[in-house]
Amino acid sequence: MDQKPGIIQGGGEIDTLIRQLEELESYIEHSQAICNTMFDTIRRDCNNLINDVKTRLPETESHDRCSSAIESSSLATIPIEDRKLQKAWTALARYPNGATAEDIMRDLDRHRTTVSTYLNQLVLLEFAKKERIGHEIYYRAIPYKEEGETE
Amino acid sequence: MKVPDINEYRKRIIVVYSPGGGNGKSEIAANLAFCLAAKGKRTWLLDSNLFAPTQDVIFGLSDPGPTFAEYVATDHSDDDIPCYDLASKLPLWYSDLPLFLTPSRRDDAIVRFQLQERVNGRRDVFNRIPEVIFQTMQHNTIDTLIIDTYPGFDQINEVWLGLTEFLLIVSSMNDIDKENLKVLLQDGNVSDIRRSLVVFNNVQLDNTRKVFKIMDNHTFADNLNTIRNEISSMGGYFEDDGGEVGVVDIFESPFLYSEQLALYSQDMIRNGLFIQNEPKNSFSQSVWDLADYIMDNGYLG
Repeated sequence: MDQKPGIIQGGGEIDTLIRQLEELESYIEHSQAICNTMFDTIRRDCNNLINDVKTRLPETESHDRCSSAIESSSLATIPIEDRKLQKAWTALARYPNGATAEDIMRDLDRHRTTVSTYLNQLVLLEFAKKERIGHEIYYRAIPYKEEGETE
Repeated sequence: MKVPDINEYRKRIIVVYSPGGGNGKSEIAANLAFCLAAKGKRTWLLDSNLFAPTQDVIFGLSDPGPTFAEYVATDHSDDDIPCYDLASKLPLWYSDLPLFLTPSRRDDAIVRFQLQERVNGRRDVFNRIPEVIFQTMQHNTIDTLIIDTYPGFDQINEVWLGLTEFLLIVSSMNDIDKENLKVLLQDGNVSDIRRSLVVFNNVQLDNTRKVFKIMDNHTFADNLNTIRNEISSMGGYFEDDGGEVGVVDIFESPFLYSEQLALYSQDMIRNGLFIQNEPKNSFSQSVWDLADYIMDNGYLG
């Protein structure tokens, strides 16, 4: 009997096709899991490379306000648990002549008002100073000294 | 003003946030404030919704006083953010609770948009909010400050994200909110926050604040497992620069619709469940458990 194109004859043939499709689906899921793992590895490697480049940037690239940034030994930390304030202080410390919230916003890739809130908390914690120059407000990191540490 | 140690105050702030509107954020914030107060925490609730504040409705206040929007838009922002002893306004059965509330008031749309213009032009006020918040907490010896946010006004929310170490994210289980939640958790401004706790709510309110459910509780529970796995598998994406980022946790107990809750809301405009002395349904129990979870797991410093 002639079989019309596109129409499958008989239940057995359909069962076979369904099984094949299920196997194919399982193969796709398996491949997808392998790809995800690979992507994770690649992403982690990329992050490591980016961090590596970022840590070298201050040594290789001159910046108007970065030229004499606070020594990297002082950059290490301020005694506060909050990571976002740590990051804001580290970014600010790269600008020895002071930076605006917009400067830090670009460096951290965060909202302007959020960054401004970080900086104002650093001022309250006495890890930064704030001064108005014209219309702009400039923030400057205060180097942290351990108790007993001298200049 | 000099704040002696703002680190202590920073750890007492809970910012209640959501990936979208209308998913019960204010309701949970109000009831959580009540539960924490009932557990002995001197709790202050700040309704930061500039356009449609609701906490006055939830608490049934007829004369709530100046709004947060008015406070931000005026020249009195060196003062404490306005608060008063809510206990004197509430029914006797919990009148001794140390719960404070920043009052809010509904204005008409024109007034609100005028207010928005004024607020937009006051960047100096946003700069001063951290100091004023800590000052207010110090003056009023506040144990816990709950900030009920409003998703539609970014500048104020950016302040709250920069201020808090604990973000409580309220999401409903619809597809849009689930996708928005995933985007939100991958946002650097959020993943910078030390701890985030996601709660899922299966209760929504209509325009008269009557309760209705989004999906049946069984389907909701299945979806909760799925989204929990999806969020867990997103964990790697939170590593923004190779370092540690904020921890995202999911509250196990969903905020579920119950028949009792529905029956209750048929007869009256429903305000806060605990506030209206209706503590014996699954939603109320979830808020109570949430308060325990927050206190037991070190979310408040």
